[in-house]
Amino acid sequence: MNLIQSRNQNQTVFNQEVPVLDNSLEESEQEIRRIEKSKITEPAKKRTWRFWLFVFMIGLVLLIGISVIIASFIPQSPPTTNPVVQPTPTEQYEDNSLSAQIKQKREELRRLELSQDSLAFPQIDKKIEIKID
Amino acid sequence: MFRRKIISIIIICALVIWALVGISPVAAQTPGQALPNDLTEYAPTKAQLLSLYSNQVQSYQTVYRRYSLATVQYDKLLTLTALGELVNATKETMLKRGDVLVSYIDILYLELRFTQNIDPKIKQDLLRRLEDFHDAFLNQQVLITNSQDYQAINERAGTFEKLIIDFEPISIETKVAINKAKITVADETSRVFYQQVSDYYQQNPVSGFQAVERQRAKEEIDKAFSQLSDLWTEFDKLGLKEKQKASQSWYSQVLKSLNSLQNQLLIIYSYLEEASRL
Repeated sequence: MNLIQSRNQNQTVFNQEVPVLDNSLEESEQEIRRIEKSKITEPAKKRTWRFWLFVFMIGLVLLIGISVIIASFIPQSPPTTNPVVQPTPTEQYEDNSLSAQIKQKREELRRLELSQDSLAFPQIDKKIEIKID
Repeated sequence: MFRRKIISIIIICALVIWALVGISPVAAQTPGQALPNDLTEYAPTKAQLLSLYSNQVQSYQTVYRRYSLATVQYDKLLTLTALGELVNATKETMLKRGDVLVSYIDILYLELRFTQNIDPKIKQDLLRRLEDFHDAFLNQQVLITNSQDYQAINERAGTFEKLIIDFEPISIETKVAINKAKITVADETSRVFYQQVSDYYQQNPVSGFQAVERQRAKEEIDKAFSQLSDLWTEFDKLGLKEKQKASQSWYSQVLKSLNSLQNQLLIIYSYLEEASRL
């Protein structure tokens, strides 16, 4: 009798635990599927991020390179204004008479220091060397 | 592994950007690229360059004294330490001398570029040659920096001497072109003023004593212009013959001739000023 009772009790316990086991198995399977899915999708996401970073850097380098090259090819022409008898704005509003204009140009010419030579060659020693006997 | 790759890519990219933005413009910067095109920027740029030039001349003079002292010291002591100090002092002096020359070329270049009334062909040729010398002196600076012993320093001294012998005539030709152009502009302006005075006389006729005064003034001005033409003829005779190099003595003669032209023009301007009041 005891044996029968014990067996019946065990049977009851077994019958109770089975659904629990089934549920946990299903959850585990779902968890595994989720992990596997994430393993597949995450590297793809990382690859995309890396790819765009690479494209951005290459693009930046090319953009700077091209702009530097273009800038070096832009011709830099000197100004073509003719300085002969072009009154400065101050002249126009001050004494605009012919004698005043001549006087100003004469002063400019007088200030031209050709003899003092402001563009004189620098005073340097052209023979700097180490003399060893 | 992945992180390493990313870091290496970023480092390479950063190096390439630095090379393009940082090094290239500096290394390839000729005076033409460094200096402005705008006429309004001429005066401030020139003032800046002159200030830099003046500071560099002072620095050069200071290190030159140190170089002279190191030479005397070595001749007395003849030790390896004294030789080491002499090598360093010589190197520093040569570098400072190079800085002075590079700035001097920049000033000449700026002045030439903004001076009008120069034959475009001559101007372009001189600008190009100044650019070449600018680069050559910069290269020389790099070679001096890399020189470690006295043999290498003396080698650089030799190449510098050759370079300076070739550069001096170009600097003289540039100065002559600039000064001649300035006198030419003053000459042309005086002729424009002469025409304006003549027009004024025609539009406002006078009689009697004033008319005689005007006639006398015009005759004086004509005579002064005739003398100016003679001076120009004298100046043209000084022109360089083919394959002749500009020397300091030639430049002194040219400068004397240009001074005579300047004085004659000052006389003409005084006459014109008086004549415009009659």
